[in-house]
Amino acid sequence: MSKQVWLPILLLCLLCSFLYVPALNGPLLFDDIDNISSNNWVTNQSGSFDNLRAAAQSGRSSHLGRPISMLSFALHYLGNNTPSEVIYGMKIAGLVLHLLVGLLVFVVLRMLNELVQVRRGPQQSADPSLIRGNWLLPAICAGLWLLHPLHVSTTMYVVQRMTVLAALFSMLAITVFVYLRVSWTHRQPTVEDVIVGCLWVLILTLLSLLSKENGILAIPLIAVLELCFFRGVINGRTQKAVVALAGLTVFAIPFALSIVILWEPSFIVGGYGARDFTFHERILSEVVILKDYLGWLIFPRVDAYSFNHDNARIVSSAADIEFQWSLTLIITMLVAATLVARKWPFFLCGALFFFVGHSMESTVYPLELQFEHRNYLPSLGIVLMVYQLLKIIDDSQPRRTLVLVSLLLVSVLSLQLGLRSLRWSNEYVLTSHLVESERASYRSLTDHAAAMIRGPLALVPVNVADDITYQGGLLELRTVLERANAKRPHFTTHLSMELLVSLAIKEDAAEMERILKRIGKTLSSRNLMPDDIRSLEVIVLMGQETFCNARCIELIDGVLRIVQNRNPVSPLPVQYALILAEHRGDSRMRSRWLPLSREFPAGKLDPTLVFRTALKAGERGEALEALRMAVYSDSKLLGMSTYRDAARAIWHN
Amino acid sequence: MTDVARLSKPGRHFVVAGLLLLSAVALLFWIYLPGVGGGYLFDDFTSVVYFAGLVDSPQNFWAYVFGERSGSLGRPISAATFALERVFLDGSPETSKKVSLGFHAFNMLLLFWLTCLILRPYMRTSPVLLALLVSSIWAFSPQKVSTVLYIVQRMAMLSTLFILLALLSYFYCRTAKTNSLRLVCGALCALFAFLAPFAKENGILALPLIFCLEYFVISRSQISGASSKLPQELSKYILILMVTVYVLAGVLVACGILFSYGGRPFTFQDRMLTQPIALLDYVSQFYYPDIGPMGVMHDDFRVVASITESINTLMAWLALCACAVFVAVSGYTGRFLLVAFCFCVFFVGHSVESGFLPLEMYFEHRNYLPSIGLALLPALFVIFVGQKVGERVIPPLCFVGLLALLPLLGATSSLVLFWSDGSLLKLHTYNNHPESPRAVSDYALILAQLGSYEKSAELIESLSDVGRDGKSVNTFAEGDVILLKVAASCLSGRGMPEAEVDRFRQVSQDNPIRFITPRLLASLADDKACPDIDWEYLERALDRLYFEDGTNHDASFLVFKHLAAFEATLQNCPMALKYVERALSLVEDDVDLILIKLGCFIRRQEVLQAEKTIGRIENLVNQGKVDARHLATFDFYKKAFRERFLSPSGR
Repeated sequence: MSKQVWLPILLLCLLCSFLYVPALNGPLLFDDIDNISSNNWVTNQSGSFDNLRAAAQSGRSSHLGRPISMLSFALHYLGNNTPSEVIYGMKIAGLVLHLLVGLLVFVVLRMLNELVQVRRGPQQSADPSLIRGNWLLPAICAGLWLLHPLHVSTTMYVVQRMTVLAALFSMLAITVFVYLRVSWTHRQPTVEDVIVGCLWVLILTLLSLLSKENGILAIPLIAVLELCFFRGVINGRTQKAVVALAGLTVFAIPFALSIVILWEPSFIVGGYGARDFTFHERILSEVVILKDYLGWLIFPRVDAYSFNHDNARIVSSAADIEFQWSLTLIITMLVAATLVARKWPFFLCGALFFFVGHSMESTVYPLELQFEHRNYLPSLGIVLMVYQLLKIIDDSQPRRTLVLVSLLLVSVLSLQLGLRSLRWSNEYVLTSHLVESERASYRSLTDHAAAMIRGPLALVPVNVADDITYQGGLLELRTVLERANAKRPHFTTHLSMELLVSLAIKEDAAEMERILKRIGKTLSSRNLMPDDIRSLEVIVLMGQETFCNARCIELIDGVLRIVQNRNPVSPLPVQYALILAEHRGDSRMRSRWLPLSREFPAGKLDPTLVFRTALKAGERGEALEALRMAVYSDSKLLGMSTYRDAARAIWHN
Repeated sequence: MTDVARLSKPGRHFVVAGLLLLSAVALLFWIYLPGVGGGYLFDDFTSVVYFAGLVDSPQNFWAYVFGERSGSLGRPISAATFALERVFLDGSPETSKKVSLGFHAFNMLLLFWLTCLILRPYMRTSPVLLALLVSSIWAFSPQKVSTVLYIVQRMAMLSTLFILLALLSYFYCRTAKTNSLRLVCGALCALFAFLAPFAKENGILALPLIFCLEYFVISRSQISGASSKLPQELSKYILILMVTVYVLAGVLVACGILFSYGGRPFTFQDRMLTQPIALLDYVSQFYYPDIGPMGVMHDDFRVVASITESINTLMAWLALCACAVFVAVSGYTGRFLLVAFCFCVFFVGHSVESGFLPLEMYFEHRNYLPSIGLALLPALFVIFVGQKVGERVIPPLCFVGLLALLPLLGATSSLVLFWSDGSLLKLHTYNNHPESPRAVSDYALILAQLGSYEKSAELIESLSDVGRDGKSVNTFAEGDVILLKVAASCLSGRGMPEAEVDRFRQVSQDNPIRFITPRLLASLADDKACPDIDWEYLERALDRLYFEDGTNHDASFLVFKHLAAFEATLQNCPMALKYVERALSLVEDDVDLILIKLGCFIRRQEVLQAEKTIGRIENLVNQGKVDARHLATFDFYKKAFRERFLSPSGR
């Protein structure tokens, strides 16, 4: 390819990078903390092979553990970079990967464009102006995908590198497929060609799968391309078996899922126990959500985007009007695209690409209902449809019309992207926008409260009476927490934050006691939920601060005991109590909780914690036994370096 | 130009191969280096640590090199490497392990080279990627950790090194164009094959492996000048002869004429029934490793006493027979020759240590050489697919192979870290071998060292039941349990557990001490590890046990020998001499015991007896029965004797 071909896409990449610059200074957010910065296996990097292996295997998001993504996070912690440098590096890496995916989108679009051009007939394909213009449309469409503001919450949300990496490998697999398939349309491939091609595609799909599970969708997505563009044509002749195979592959996932649900409903439906919606509600709601996604992609509006979607509307009945409209829209879109598929194949391909791309995360699995990052690769389907529209304009109007329309689209997206990028430059700014709306979700409100605590308020014991600004901030914080309380009164995250505020401004002990008792009362009435774990973490963190006095520790201990009584099989209260005891050097607390730790089967508790607690108590034999049990229960042997250091510590103690 | 010559000529693959190999070696060091800090372990103390004496007496270098008694040939080459480390390097266990790692990396390179030569005639393109895959599968297997990081097992690595060098030299000898080159390569081959058994006895396997290489690879391949009928026929008959001799030797062992199973808790039949299962386990641990059971303690390996006892035995024997038939048919028909060669490497490689000799049942290091055959098999599958489909399929398949290698690297890395600390390794071993008496006792003693006497005593008490079902190792007797408890008490800083020692009065077994637990006590006493303990109480109890009128308690030669050493350490010469006499009545001319006697005579100023004993030892020295270790002790005693009794002031 000549330089002229690459110039527009490179310019668009440059524009994209420029617009992303403000967001590069953003912090780690929400799930980044659990998966990355609080994941010791990822952050403790000495450069040894074992450390990297442990990091790669430390993923808890799924059975496969997403080792490639986890490894890529760990690589940032090699060397002596400061935390802010590490985060900056992670954001840069996210941007670079995004640009690489964009380049692959360009390459694939260009090859598909050539294919369609050739199909139109020798006269048109031989037209030098058309050949010369081949690079423009793919470049514009790849640029539109790159500049779409919806992708900010994927590329700049570090943990979603999993999605980006899966998309990258999927796009590589698609590129290899399209490259080979284009050449096979006019020549007969040998068996060797087919096997070698399949092997490379499978290897890339495997890498995609090891980045994130929906990487497996590379195969049905390839089948979509086969159905819409190549249609089984090999060496000028249509092979019906290939078409059948592609069709089967596209529908294999829904078919397999249907069989599983019919055969063993509990396999999928059973996972809904921890959700506040049922299997049927999810199916109905996802139809509306897919319509929302289409809206976000086609009419980008930064204010409509959010980080948290825990307030997504749950559709309970098929009689719901929004559900019916959404279903009608989707069916109409698919039928219309099918009807014009012969003439304009990109429409059908785009629609199928979008829905197949969503077939894992937006269907039956009991995942949360809605997330923006789920659109990262499926949004390419919409780009394919836009490509077809622009192609129609290009074919029917003078080239300058296309250029003008393209410029308009690029400008709108750039503005939106720039705006969103600015919002993502700061946690407080980002969450402020999330809570502006009355419909702000509980998680957005508590996230904003956390951002205030970490940011402008930076809670430290101060004489608040002297500081009006501080008092104003506190007032705002309390308002946010009250809104959160109104949304989910039975949740505890906001209560733990209230506690933190109360401690920081030295309110009387009665207030703290009131909040802790309320937390205790809430937790005594039901089993632990994910949000409770977060609030327990906050309480334990608070207990580690110097301003938490003996009475404060006693109250925290009381809450932990309540949780322990209510959830006797959960190791969390014991674990948190031991963390606190170890940090405070509280021998009474240690002696109260250490015997409880022995009641849990091996591996339930953080093994090194029990070991450290025993070692601090001077029980070296007990520490070795704890270490032995830790090793015994660690099926992945993640903590090998820790175990070695622990063994040495026992002898040197 | 021959295929080999074409390969050795720098071509376009040279740089790629070099870079890939360099990366693989760097990866090997990256994974293994954290494990070098584990110190000496188990047999290292008896076979490696004593080379420390060389630091003070470098003039005894050759005595140390040729004084090693680990095997029938003395393993002087391995001993020389240990000795050289002491003389020229710092002699620390870390350095020894780094040197061993260097040998492992070198073996990996040699295997890469050999694989290139073997596979080249079967491929139109370069076999570099496949050779890299083979050498990586072999070198990164977690099974290798207990060879590479166990210093004493350098012997196994060195014998493999010489065998690989011999095979490479033979290959070049057979494919060389000029007579002079053929002569040089032939001489080198002979030299390496000769040296291999002096690193470890199973180096003798260089010979059958050379003939296997000739028969299954060189004679039948398309290498120009190498395919010839005469070497093929010759190698065939030599191999048949070797198999016949091997079977005959097995019959002699079965009849008790060669080697004795007397010291083992299993019989010849038990071993023959169990070894096929062990071989299958080696194979499964190579391809699908579970690092849990991996380590150096396998005395809980279950012994099979009857072919009907388990279906696995029957299946294992059938598999073994099927492999033998496959090799024979392949050799006859000329089909699947490389697969047959792989089988040969595996089974020939195991023929010494996993055959009929009365050795312990299972050790991972025995796979160091044989697993080359296992590592070659996946490459043959890739070649097979390449031949059927086209060779362009080989790079992606190799890529898949290298991806599949990643979990293997993780397993190896984890195991390496277990080996990086002695106590961590013992803890891991106990976790996975709770039926191994040695693993349990080792862990119990660690607990005692950390002050947990109660838990330690509980574990030691359980030892009398541990391993009762299997027969691969002797179980601890009542006396062993008592002595271990004494050791535990000593290590945990307590006094003599008199109540436990009093249990010697009630022991019911004729052989109440079976393990060499007295050696542990001797070393504790020697280190003065337990100043608070009243050894006399134990000495009296042991005296009553073996020498009281009417007692019918007995012990093995080793137990008496270590009891003598224990008493000598406590400077209780009368008791030491009593044990020495009992031990010498079982085995004459044991240098250790005679030295203990000499020490006692000097201490008790029995000049005539001492002179007589010196004369006896000098006789043994002249007969070459005294190694470097004993020579140093003997020199020390002679000097003391002269100073005390022969010098003017002494007289």
